[in-house]
Amino acid sequence: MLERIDAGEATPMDLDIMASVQDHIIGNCLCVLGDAMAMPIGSMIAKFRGEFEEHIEAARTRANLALGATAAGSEALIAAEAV
Amino acid sequence: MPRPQPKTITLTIDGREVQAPENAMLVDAAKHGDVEIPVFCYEPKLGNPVGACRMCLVEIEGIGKLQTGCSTPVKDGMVVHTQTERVKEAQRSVVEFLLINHPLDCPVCDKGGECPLQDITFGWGGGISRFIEPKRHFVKPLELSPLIAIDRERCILCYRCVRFSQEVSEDYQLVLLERGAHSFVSTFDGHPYVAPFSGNIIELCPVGALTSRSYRFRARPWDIEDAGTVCTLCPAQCNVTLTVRDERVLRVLSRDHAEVDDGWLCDRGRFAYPALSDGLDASATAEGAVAVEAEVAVAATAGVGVDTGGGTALATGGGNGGGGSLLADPSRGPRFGARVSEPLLRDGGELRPVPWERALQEASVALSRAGARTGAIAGGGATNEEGFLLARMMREGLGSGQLDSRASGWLALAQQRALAAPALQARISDLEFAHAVLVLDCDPIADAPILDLRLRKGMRRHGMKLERIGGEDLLALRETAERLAGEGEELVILWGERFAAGPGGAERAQALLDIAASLSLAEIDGAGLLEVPASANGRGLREAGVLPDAGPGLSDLDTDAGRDADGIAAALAAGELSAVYLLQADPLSPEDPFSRGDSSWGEALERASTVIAHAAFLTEGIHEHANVVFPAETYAEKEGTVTHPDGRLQRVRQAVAHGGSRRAEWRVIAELSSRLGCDLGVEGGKSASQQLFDAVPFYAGLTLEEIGGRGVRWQERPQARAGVGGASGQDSASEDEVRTEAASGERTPPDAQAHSGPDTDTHAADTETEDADGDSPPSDPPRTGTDK
Repeated sequence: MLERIDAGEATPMDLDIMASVQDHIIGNCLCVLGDAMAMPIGSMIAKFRGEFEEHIEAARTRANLALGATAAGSEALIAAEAV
Repeated sequence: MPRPQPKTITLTIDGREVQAPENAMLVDAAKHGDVEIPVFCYEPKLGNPVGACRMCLVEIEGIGKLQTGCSTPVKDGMVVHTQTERVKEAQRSVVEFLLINHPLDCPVCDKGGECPLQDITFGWGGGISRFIEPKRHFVKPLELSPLIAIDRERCILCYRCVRFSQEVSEDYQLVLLERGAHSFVSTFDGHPYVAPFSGNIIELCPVGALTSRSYRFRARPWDIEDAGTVCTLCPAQCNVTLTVRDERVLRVLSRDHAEVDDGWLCDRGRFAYPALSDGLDASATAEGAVAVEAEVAVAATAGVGVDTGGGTALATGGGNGGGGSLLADPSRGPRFGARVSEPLLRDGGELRPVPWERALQEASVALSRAGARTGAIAGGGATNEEGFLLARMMREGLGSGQLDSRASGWLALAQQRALAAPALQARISDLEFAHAVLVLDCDPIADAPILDLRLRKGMRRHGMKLERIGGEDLLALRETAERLAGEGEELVILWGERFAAGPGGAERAQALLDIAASLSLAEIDGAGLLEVPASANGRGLREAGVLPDAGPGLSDLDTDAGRDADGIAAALAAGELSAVYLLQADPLSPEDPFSRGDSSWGEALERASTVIAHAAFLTEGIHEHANVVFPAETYAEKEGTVTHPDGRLQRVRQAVAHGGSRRAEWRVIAELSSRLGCDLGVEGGKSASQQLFDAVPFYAGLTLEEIGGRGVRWQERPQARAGVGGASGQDSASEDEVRTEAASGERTPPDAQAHSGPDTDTHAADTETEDADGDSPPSDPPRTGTDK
């Protein structure tokens, strides 16, 4: 999921999923390591949601730019071939 | 160790008052109130719960966090909620977590249709997953052993198989490697999981991660029918459910009975099924080859011989034509080791298939010529009824008392009665709860494998003390027994039939009786003796009267005692007897308990002018020496009763139709007897059982319905008060009472019989055509399929 955020494929809905997953892990798991990881993630999303959303948006823009660049490049290539 | 006597407490589940035993786990207690809490990892047979899967989360008032129902013992006044939104949300999220890496390849999964993960996902899951990430991948399926395939992608890491290996069978081979999301089930260093009870993990697995390699892709749950019966491959007589498709047994599953098998099966019982029914073209298909390979592996590990031909015998043209011709060349007579599916007659030195009429005629002529000079031995999985009718035919039809079912030879009747005294008999579950168990001249893993798990359970969970001793040194035996009796008053002596075998057997049996008397094992509940007979139904055959010196119920005979098995062999070799009747016994086969390992039986069968055998397979002695071979049924084809070593009468139910032209064995014996001029008056399987129950005093008043699917231990019935073989003190009043009960029981319609649930579905579909002699097969209600 984090890789998807970085690759610009995530949406703010993924943050909701993460928030709900950590909520389901806390208190329900046999191993307290689960709680130990879920708590910081929960507070990170609660306190810094805006920054995560910005990051997701930034990654999307980056990815879109890259995609756009590729698309533009190939269009130019096709145009060049046509000429 | 006295058995726990839990007191009953009251708790509230979902607003209902529920009575449950104290300290029962919440999941079990909820069942008392008809509340189902879903579980994956919880399995009480595996010992302490681990709470690994988190499926059973419930809300308990007064406790902040949700609790796992499988590891929370109930307390008086507890208030539990299983239907709140909080619980439901937690259950949905657990299913979602479990499915993150589950491949959901149900359409090609063997478990599909009988899968707890499927059921629980439908019942408690959210229906969708929010995870679109790639799932983890493993090479699949891997061979965990020659018998078991493992698909680690499907695994939900519930630990059941690992716990079985570590805490039940104690072979410590299965482990969970790696940690966290990378965990997977494996064996150390990837060695195959070869163990005597490995097959149980297939049944334990709540998903399709562990599947049977021989059952793989053979059937879907909606193709199959279940048939409850009793495995008679060894004296443990485990309760099983046979999976039947198109009149073939495709799988053997355990039918949990706490007093018999505790819900486990050995690999011999579980994987030797290709021999149970006809038509598995084992050598014709690739899957078949796996089945045969698996079977060989079982035979190698469990040390037993099974037919490696995969159960297909003669090319009879019935159902399995193509496969059969590979295994038998009709011009050369049936192959050694093949399954017998029609009567065979020795003609010009070769056994050849003949019609029933001819075989019965030849057999009856030969038997009437030999008359009283006929001997008989019965063994294997012969039922009580077959033994009883054989004894009647021998005594009444031929006037011969030369018959035996004790492979270990003669033992004085008084001693046999004393050893079988009801008060002295330990139950199987006593092995678990006793303070100490002395294993005397008995090797549980070979003689009755499932007892091995029971003993391990006793030691691990109840602190039972175990010692093993051979039978040679009687002084050491007494010392050991007395030392063990110091551990606590409940001492069970598990002894093998061979302890009382051969010369000195009587002396040893007496020593055992003396020890039992001096430690007063008969008076203590939970203590006693438990004999492991040499043949699967050894106890039942003895009680049915297949003994040289006793009638049904170890009663006195009017006539002189006959010879025991060894005596019959000697008399045959010396020419004093001329014919011998082998009911599912082949003394030349090394696996047979009657085998002596010397030439005595070889000479006997060589000298005998007539050898008549009931055999399922053409083993050494049958193939070489039999004049007439009647095809014997396997336990999947049989209808009748058997008696467990602890005295529990159990029903063997027919699961598949008779293959070839096989007939019920009781019927063959009855027909043969009437040709000898002695009509046994048997009209059907039921009337044979009824005759047996009437003849054996301590079976009196029993009905097949009373035995039902769980069996009846005769020592616990009022008729047992009369003791064994003793004519004195017969309590006639109670007997009459029970008879009346039985009579009223018979009037109930068959559908309303007291069977205990679907595991005992009446499942007899005898498609055999009516025979000329007009015997009508027992009428049974139609079989029912699995409800899927």
